[in-house]
Amino acid sequence: MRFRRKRNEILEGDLTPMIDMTFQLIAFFMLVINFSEVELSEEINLPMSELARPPEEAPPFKITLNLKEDGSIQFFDQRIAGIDVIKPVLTREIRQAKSDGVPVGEINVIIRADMDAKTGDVQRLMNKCKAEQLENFSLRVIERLR
Amino acid sequence: MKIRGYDKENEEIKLSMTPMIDIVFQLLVFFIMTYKVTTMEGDYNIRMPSAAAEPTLTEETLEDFLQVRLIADPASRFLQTIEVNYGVDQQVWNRSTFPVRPTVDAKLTPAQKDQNRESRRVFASLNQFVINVVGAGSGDPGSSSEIEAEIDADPELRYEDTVYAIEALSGYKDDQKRIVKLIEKIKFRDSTGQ
Repeated sequence: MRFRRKRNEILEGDLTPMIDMTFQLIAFFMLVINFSEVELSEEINLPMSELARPPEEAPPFKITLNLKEDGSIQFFDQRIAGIDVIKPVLTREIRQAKSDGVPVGEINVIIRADMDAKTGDVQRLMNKCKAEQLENFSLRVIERLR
Repeated sequence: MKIRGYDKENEEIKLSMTPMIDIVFQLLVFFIMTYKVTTMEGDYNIRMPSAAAEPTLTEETLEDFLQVRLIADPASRFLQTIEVNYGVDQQVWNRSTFPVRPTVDAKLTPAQKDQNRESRRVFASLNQFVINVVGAGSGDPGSSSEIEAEIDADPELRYEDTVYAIEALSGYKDDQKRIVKLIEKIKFRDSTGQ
């Protein structure tokens, strides 16, 4: 009689440790996920530098411009053909900043330029921004791994 | 009446684990797929106020004024010469000429590796020059000098080399891997005239 009963039962392992571990893993990956990277283009090889340090405090408003090797610019998912046609984007962003209560002088322009880009292009881009009264620039570099 | 085989009091309530595990695995796979290993990114701050607000160069401001000229090799666009003018007498520090450098990620031959080391050395000596200029006066880390640097770079120059020059001007890492700042006011010269 006893043998018969056992045969009909579904054999079930103890799932508790596995679920524990899985939750741990989920918690870890949830914590490290970073949604703030949408504005960073992956096609860009940043120049490397030893003194690279992330800014101590987040700027009140930032405009991240990804300057590619061929002189085109990526702004979020918008591709801008050249430096000469950047103006509409800047005006729009400045208007946005103003409605957020950030004056033009405090906007931080982050330039993520490719290491093979021309320095002249970076300068031209900065001059375009300067023409719109933007004066706070950050040149983005990546930490050199030794 | 008792139904045989259905003893409510003695039965253990069992949750069905399968749907939960399904969802949990879905979540896990999603987070693993979106996980990206990134190296830390940092910034070099450059302030470029509009031309009207800029003071003109006088004897006094020239005292703390360091001009760095970067000249590119026309063929390879790598840095070829660094020229540094500093102070009232605008003494020229150096006219170092670089060998043509290969890109960092390319596979290097031993000879190219040697050239690469050579170019690193020139940036290191520029760094040393700036350390001497800034002087022992502001020795403690964290404080930077009043000296202002202006970079006059060849428009064709590869941006990477400009960043190396900015790095050499802005600071160095001491023995304890702390960052010692040298020049914080770095700007580009308005040479494109736009």
